[in-house]
Amino acid sequence: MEYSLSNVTVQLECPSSEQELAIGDIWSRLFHLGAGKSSQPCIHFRVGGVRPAEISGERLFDAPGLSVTRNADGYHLTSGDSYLLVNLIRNEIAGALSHNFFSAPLENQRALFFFAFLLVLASHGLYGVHASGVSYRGSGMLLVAGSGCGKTTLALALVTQGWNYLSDDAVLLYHTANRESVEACAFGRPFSCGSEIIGHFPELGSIAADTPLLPNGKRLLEVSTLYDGQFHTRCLPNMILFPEIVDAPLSRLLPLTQTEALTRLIGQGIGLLTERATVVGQLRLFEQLLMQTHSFRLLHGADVHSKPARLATLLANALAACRQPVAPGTQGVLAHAG
Amino acid sequence: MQDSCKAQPHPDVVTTRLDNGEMVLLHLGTRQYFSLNQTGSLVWQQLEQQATLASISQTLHDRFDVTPGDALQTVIELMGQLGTHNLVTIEDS
Repeated sequence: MEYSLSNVTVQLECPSSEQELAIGDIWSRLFHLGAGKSSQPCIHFRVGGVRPAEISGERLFDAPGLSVTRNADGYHLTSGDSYLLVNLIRNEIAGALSHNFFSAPLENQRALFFFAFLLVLASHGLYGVHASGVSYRGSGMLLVAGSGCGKTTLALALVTQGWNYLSDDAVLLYHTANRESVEACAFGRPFSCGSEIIGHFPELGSIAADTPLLPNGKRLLEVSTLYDGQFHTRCLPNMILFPEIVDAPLSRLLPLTQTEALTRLIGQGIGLLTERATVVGQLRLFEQLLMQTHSFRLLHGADVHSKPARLATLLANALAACRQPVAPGTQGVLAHAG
Repeated sequence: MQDSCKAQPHPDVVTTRLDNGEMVLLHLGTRQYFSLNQTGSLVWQQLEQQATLASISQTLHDRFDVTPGDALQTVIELMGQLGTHNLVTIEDS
């Protein structure tokens, strides 16, 4: 079975058609999938291998739902009793998925597949960044931040005001074919929403009732049925916002220099600090992105919920102004950024 | 630190230059990143060309309105900071 996922084709090979269908079903809930295209680079995803008894190497990441170890064979991803080996040289993801994996919470399945795909996609020039992607009248805006900074709330507030959306938690950035600009494309499909967000957007309640509550207290909601026609696969970013929740009635924007924006982007780049070539590629992409965008801190206050139209107007006006050239800035000789 | 010393960028440091003349340094080993302003960027570019500290301070004196002594002091202080964070390797010439 072949799928198109964020500009690449994924060739899925499984020992049984049942498992192939089950994986395809999980992917369709996690990603915006299409039919594979021969014109795209191809990733091989093979299931049916054996999990090694012991994995030695550098432990890069360790969380309850996922651990990642790197050694000469590649990146070893473990989630419970399931295992994937990501080999960037062979352009392959291979491993063993246990019976338990298929009944595990979607969040655990997401963690394993997201990380595996992000590693391979980066080697194809598609670099992940922790961001919600939205667009308005053809101009793209990235809301770049880690968890708990209000990305999802802001994206939903704008979507209810007629904006389009790409993804909630992560977007992929890549050079256009002529390498003259950087585009963003959607990656994950569901929005990760806690009860507070669901409370602020009542329309989410109708789909939340049928969606399992995850151990982290959130639900992965498929919002495309609520905001019909507002999903876009890609956009050309003109503005980058770094949101921060503040205790104030009104939201406001504070401009950032290119350098400040770059260090913040590095802090939210997914997959950075892995392969040297990947790091260099991602930094070059960030450089180019900053040449086509203006960057701001968004201190967002109570108006996100009380006056979403005001916030949407503020951001739409700023986005329209972001077609102007970017001004340089200065700071200390050497500054520790992160 | 002597002005005849040479400092070289650490091989694990990846750099990026912005069109505002500033730079960001990313250390792959420590996973820390730093920004350099335009003066710091000029110094870093000289390091990449294997210039001595004396030569770098001369460049700063030529380009900016600083005395030779102040330029050398700036370079030595910056080398100290870069060395502290393992961004350069320093050797006596």
